[in-house]
Amino acid sequence: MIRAKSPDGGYVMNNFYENMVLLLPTLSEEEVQEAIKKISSFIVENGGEVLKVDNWGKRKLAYKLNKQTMGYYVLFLFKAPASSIKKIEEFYKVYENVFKFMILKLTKHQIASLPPEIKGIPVEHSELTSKV
Amino acid sequence: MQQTTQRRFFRKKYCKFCAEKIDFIDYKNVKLLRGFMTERGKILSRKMTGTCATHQRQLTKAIKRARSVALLPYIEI
Repeated sequence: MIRAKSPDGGYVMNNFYENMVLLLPTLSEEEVQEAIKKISSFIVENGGEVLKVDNWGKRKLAYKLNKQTMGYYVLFLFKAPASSIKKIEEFYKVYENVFKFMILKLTKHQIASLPPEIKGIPVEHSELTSKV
Repeated sequence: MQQTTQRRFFRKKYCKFCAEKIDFIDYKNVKLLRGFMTERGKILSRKMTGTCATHQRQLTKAIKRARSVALLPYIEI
């Protein structure tokens, strides 16, 4: 567990989270990049730290979901205090480009298996974004 | 009724995850999960696949997670 100092002086536990976001298929590639930037900046604003962004590209959904048959899959890996998750979820509900999301807390086991460069220094997400 | 005296031979089933030493089943690994489902999209039982109890529990969780983000179907018609 990583302890970070909160603004009011106390210590908050920072957990690792994995976040799958489905973006509308009608968006263009640039709009997707913009949406990713907006989401990452929102996570950072709420005291989080984005460790990895993985863009899987446009994919066909296994079933019709929220009136969509296709969607852009984007995977975020971030470290944030537990209190911020509710805010992030609220943000997704309001944000019109996201039609489905899932936030999972990583288990101890998963955190241990993360590559060390991710756990330590955050890398610029433009480098990590894979091309699909 | 006449009982069959002939013995049937089964290949011994084993847990694939234990054999490959996978300690965590990721929901993003769709190809792997698909192998533990019927064509219709149902989760195969432990009797069918030979998965151990620990891994079966992880497997169902992973499949259900994948279903919720439309990586896998609930049912396939």
